[in-house]
Amino acid sequence: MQAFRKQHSFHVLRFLSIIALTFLILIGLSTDYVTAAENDKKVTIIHTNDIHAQIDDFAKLAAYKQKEEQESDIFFYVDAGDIFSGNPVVDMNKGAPIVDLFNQVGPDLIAIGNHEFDYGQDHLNERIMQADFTFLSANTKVLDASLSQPAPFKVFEKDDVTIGFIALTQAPPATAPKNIEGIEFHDYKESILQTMEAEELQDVDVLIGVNHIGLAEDRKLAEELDVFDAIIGGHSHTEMQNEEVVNGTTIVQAGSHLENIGNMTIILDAYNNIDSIDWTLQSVEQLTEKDEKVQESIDAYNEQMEEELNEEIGETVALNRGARYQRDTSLGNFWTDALRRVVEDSDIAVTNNGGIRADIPAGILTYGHIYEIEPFANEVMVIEMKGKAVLDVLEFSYTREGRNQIDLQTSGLEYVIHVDEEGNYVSVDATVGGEPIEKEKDYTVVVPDYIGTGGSGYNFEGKVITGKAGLMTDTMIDYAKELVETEGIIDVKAEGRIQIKQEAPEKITVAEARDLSVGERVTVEGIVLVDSGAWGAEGFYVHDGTGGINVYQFDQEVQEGDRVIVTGEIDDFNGEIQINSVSSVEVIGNESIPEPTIITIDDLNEGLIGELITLKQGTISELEKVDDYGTFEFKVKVNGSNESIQIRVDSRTGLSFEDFAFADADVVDLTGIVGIYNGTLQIKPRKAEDIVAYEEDIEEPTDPNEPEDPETPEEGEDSPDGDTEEDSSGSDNNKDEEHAAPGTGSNEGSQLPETATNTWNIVAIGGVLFFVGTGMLFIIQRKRKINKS
Amino acid sequence: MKKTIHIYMNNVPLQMHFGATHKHALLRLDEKLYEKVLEKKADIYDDRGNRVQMDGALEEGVSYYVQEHKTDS
Repeated sequence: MQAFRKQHSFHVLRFLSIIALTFLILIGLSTDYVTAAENDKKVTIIHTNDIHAQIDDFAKLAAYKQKEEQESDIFFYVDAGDIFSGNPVVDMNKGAPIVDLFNQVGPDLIAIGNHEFDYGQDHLNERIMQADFTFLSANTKVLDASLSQPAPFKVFEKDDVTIGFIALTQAPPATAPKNIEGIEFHDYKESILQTMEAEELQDVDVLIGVNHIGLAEDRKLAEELDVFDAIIGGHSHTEMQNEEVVNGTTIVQAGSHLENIGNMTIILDAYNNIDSIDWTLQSVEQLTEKDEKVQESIDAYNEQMEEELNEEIGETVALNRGARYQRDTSLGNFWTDALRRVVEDSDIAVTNNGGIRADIPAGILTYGHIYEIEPFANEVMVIEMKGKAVLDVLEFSYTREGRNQIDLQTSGLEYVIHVDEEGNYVSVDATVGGEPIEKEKDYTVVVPDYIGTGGSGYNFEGKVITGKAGLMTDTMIDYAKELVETEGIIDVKAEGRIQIKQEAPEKITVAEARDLSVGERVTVEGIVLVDSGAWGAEGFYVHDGTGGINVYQFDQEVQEGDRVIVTGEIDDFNGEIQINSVSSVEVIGNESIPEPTIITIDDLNEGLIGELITLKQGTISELEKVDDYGTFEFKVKVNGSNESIQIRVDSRTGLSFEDFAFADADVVDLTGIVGIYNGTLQIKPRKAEDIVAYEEDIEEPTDPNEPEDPETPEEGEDSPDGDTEEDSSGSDNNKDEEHAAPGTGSNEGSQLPETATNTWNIVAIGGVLFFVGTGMLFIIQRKRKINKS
Repeated sequence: MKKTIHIYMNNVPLQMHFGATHKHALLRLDEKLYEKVLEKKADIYDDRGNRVQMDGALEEGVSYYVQEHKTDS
């Protein structure tokens, strides 16, 4: 029994032991679980990127940061770069105001973005020294430059959690090349792998990338490298709605311009393993709390700068950049004139369209306007270049990356890009100071340092005279002041310095051109029948022997007799075919214009449109002024015809109604170009000399005893001492006399003067009577003979 | 130095210069779209529906879209 009890007691004891052990294990497990939940750690990282000097909401940022920091076990604020460039308040002070505000907010680190180099390395160094936080970049390697080598990473240990941050900068950074001279920007992946070898990074619990390389590059990096727990990005200005997880790496970005603040929450367990990463985007607009001290600083900066920026320079016309991809613009001309002015004896100034950031409205120009149109703080650079290098730049400017558009505004240099029908570059013609550019000649060229040092792919090949000829903004302010002082207003316009010309269609005759449809492009060659401008703009008629046609254009002044090659589009102006939308008028010579064709009214028809004609002995009627400028119309009728023709004299010919010497019932010979207006044929005299008093054509008698000599003086003109009283009055009086003769009722015309013509007429009549009488006598005698027989 | 960036804007392939922004792409494609975004009548989105700002950098191979805001009427 004892033996049983003993045995039984043993079994009971063993059973109780198992129960107790199980209980203890369960208790132990339970205790362990409870301890783990209590040991979870919440890491909060708020972040911004691409603030671009927008300081107005920093008080909200500060208040938000304080609130989040209070509610977190472990807290960080990081920025993913591009804090500079975009606001004159900051830019005029080379970033100092925004670094001061950041110091008040208190970020832990900021990645170096490409625009951190915009003010130059020296200023970036100053800002790094000013900052209470760290600027990071793991792929920036300073070789021979003034920039201090930035740290590649930073490790923090808070509440027994070790968190590392590594930053990347866009490689190469999109900034003026001179700002990054002596610095290398290495491959992202290689830079991270190299950085990861640092001892401090070996035992980090959490590793965060703070990258200024764009969202697409962040994704690529996460796919290729399994090192980051999260990437906080910038550069692409992406306002992400949700975090992305790529290869286990959470990627986020918070837009730009401090419109949002990213908020990342990382939960770590008791062993500092990541349990979860959550992310939200906080709209700054929705935040209401502001840090008063920070706001005071913002207000002070804005007030200080507002006063400076609102200061008036003077009155200006609107300076626009709208057509900059097709031609020169008023703003481009103002800008480049300012650049050329600042460098004595410079030949050329150019600036790239990409650098002109806004228009200037008509009204009062302020300093603020200048900083709006040029927010990059670019400096003026002077380069001595060969003409050929300038031509290469012009070709590149039009063709770069297949853009096929104007990219350089100019002063001193005028150029024409010739393109084919598809707009592809064919050639460039350029003049400097009005003379064709010489390929081997040296020219002093003023450029913004952004393109002068290689920005946008430009190669201003030549000898750099200086890279620091002043700030672009300063040159424009000084030039604007000078214009206001000397001219009272800034009045700069587009003036045709830059043109794109499409290759001209094959040359055809005017007659062929007249048969084409409206809108078809043509090239014709002919003689200009009238100085340009007689009928508006710089229009003129051209004739090539097959026909004439009006050319309506604005740019090229031509003279009567110029031989021109014109390219434009066939157009219909109120029923008259003309060439409009003219892309080219080339003067290739000057010669006599064809004699006008003498016609009668009955000859007039639409086939004569564009022809230069003369109509003789037309009687004026219905003379009337048709506008306030002196343009007038009348009709002429010629004896023997029932038809009349309308004559329209445009005051722009130089002849106006007030100066017209004729009146209704006067008889005139008139010359002009036949036109048509809404179905009505009309003759358009070209100048005052085209309308003269009619002078009857009377053939001079020919004395068979005298040699034919048109210069033979008439009776009364052969006196040895020359002038008679009538003659001495000169040709003007002759003209007046002609005006008075026909139809004026002058008594002087009632009795014909004794002339050789009258005498000859009497002799001729006598001769005729003699022959008639002799003939009649002969017939009478013949009849008598017949009667006798 | 990178030379060009290839993107799509409203399904139109564009070859842009290095450093180009959405603004440049819009101006290249259609200046009216640029004006609309400038006047806040439209926004630019990437191919994952994220809004991007006008002066944000274009990224190689990314498709962007301009979406006009719906009017109240």
